[in-house]
Amino acid sequence: MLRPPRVTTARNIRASERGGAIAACAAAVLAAAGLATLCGCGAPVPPRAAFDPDTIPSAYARPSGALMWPGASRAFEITPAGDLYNGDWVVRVRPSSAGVLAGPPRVIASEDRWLPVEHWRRTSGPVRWEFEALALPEEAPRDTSLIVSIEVRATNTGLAPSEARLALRIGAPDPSPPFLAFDAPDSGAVPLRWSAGGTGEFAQGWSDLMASGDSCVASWTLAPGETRTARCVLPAYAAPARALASWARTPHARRAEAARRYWTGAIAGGAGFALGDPALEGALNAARVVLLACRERRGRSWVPIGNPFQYRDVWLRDGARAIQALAVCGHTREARELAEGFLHFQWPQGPFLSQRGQLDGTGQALWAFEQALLRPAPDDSVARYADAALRAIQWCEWQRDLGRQSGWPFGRMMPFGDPRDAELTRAQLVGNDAWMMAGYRAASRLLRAARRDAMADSVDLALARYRTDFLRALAISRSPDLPASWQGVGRDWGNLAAGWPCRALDPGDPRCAALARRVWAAAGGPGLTWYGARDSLQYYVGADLGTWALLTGRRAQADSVLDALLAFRDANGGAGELFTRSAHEFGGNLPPHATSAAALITLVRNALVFDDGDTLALTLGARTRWWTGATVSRAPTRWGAIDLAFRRDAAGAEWTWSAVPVWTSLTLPSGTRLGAPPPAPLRGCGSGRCVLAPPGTIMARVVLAADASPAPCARGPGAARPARAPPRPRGPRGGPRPSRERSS
Amino acid sequence: MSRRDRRSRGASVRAARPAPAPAARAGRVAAPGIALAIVVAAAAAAAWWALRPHPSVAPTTIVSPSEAYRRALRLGLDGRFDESIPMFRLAERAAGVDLARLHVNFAASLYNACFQPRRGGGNIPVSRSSFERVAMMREAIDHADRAARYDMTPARRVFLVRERGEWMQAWGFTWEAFVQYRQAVSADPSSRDQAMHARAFMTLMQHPDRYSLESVPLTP
Repeated sequence: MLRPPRVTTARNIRASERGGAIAACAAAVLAAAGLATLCGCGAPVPPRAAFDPDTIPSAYARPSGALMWPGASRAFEITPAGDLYNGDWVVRVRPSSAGVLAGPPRVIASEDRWLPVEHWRRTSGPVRWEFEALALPEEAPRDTSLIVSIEVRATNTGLAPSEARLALRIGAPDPSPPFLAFDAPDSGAVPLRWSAGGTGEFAQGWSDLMASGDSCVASWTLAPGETRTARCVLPAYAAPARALASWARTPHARRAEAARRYWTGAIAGGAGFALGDPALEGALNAARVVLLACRERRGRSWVPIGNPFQYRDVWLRDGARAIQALAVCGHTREARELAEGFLHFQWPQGPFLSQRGQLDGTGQALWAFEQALLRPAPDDSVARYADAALRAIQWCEWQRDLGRQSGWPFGRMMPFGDPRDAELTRAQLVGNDAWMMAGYRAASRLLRAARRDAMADSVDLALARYRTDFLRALAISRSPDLPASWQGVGRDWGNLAAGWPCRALDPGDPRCAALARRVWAAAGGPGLTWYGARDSLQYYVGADLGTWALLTGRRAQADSVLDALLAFRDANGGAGELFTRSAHEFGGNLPPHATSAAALITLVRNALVFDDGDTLALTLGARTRWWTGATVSRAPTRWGAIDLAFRRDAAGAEWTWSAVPVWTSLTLPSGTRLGAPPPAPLRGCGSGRCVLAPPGTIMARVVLAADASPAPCARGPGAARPARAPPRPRGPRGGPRPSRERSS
Repeated sequence: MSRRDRRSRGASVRAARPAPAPAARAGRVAAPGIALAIVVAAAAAAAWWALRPHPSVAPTTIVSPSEAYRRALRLGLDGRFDESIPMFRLAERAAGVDLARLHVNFAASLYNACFQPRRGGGNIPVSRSSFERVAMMREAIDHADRAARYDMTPARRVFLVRERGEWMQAWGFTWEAFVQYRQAVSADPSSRDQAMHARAFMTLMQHPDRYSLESVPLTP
């Protein structure tokens, strides 16, 4: 006979578990302590109103959700079928009513499209099945695992009584799962089972349903309007049954509240963005959640991973973006911890490399150090990083010297590499040199911060020689823009970063504009670019062109890129890496991707606060909506953390910001120019679309006039529709599988 | 033992371990009754600790350094490089072994473990991530450096230099590989194989998109 279901699990402690009451009390105290820690500031989180996840937009054809936690070495995927999978075992969820199996979820959504308490619905006949799931860390001493709490609510929406059956089964994954946990056993020898009682036996799950072996099930007869609730708890690693039972004694609602408090506190620990644009603010929050969760521990170090599922590895190229994004949005401690983790990737002869043949790692690591360590003020440990950077530069100079001796046309550039990814060719890659130059500039900045000016001057001289050689190589290449490789083969990748952030060329260099024109024309206009095949959209690789567009006054193009980044996100606010343009299908390349999250943060932040030059640039790409009144608080810059407020009214535009010791450039709202000479000490720019404020200025107001002149390089009339408007297709499931080869 | 078994066992041992006693506060004297209770409790805890079933230690894990070396080599020959690494660590203390050879073999095992696929796991590496692989390569290079400090025959030295070149090439450090290959030629000028290999690699460096190392024309 099936055990009657429980509505509130905490009030129904099984008799067999009561023997462990003392332990339970201790566990409860520990849990409470853990919750207090999770709560952080202890600020109250308003209760969540129920919402229909199916109303949340998603760009992708299939739903997906991630139950992840910072430092955990596994995560659970909520699969498009509505199951839960952690790379080792899968919990197959089969709700049904009168023999009719519920369909898969249509949408899997986070609260407010960012807060990772996941919701999804399934329906079988008149019965609506509502799922709510969240992840929390396991309690000490296990610090690399997580536990998922799930609550299932079955409601009879019909007018007659209806049967409802919920069956949960733990089993091995399908033969070709989208990912495998690195530490999953080689064989299926380990028994998979639900916990039974408060024993020390290891189990993969706990449930308040009747459990037997690998299955648990409940059958109810629901009166019209009646709701029954079930609860289950899933650890990322098998855990003793008694520990799971103890954890489950805290009601799901309290666990959900703890998760909300943690993430709200974690986001509040960074810079604040109040732009009058809730969708964009939510998108920033979602991106920060992804970056904060995609971190793993290695001993005392932290490392960034590419994704909670199939990219649970470290790539310097992806990690550097994550570090930079965390640094510029105020998560300084996390960014610096990850930068410290990068030191482990330095090879004895000086370079940084994480994956075979990916020689851009050295420049990216140095750039990440500089991004994390110099904002809002140089870290005490900067000398250590300056030393590491100097060794890397010396290695590169050694190579360049050998190349000079070779006399080969491209001998002074980085040698050939075969990244098995990205450019997907064996050649001397332009992106490797662009990033190496970014590394030189970063090394110089780190050395100056470490008060080693003479050495920094020497690096600057070497960078100038490198740039001369780079220009000479471009001339030899006969490319009209910036090719993927010096040999002219390969896919666009690292070369797209040459204008920004690498600044291998000045952003105003015609080659940068030619590159953007070529890439955007192929993609149908500014927005996402494609990779490999025209139907395969890449989320982040073209995002740097958005910042480049900001720096060159192409605001419409920058806005178009931002539109695309915002549009191609799922109902959790995260974004994938590759997906088809035609079917919006991500195949096995599951979202969320950390570099995609970083790309969004970086572009928005640069549109508001840009500090990569010798001038602080504010509102470079502020959108019209933001001008109704926006604030940015605690934004780290090279000249300290600043607060910024800006607004526009009928007469003019106004900025207030924290004083900085350098000139500040203030960009006027789109479609406007100065209506009168700016009051002293402000100075107008040549274009009339910005003003300059001397060091120490904290407020500016200017009179605006309509700007009838066209923005530079607006999209031509013949351009095709850009990849930026994603009505979700309702085509058949399981479209082509986007491919991007990644090593290891 | 599978990885899962190892992990579960570790976790169960950890869970069964008594919690550390809280530190006594300074300057506070316990009443005699409390002290007696503590003594009794401590004795009971000690008895429980002594009598509880301890996880058995498989006799195969207790090996002498020389036996560990033999096992390490055998595991390496079987392609089980990841398992050979702890054996090599034990073997470093072995007496009477050829230390230069030991370091070379240890380095080779570390290098190979970086690329070792999981058994039955397709292309999934046996190592967790690049963090571990780079650490293994750093250690491999260290062992190769240590091996190079010993006297060795010219042939073995050439082998070691060429080996390092191939490691560097595999990881994408092209100039380092080139330098190693040239050093191999210098160390054994009579070897046509070394000379051809170095020349082929140089051609590949000039025309990486045109050839693979195997397809480079080797006409003198």
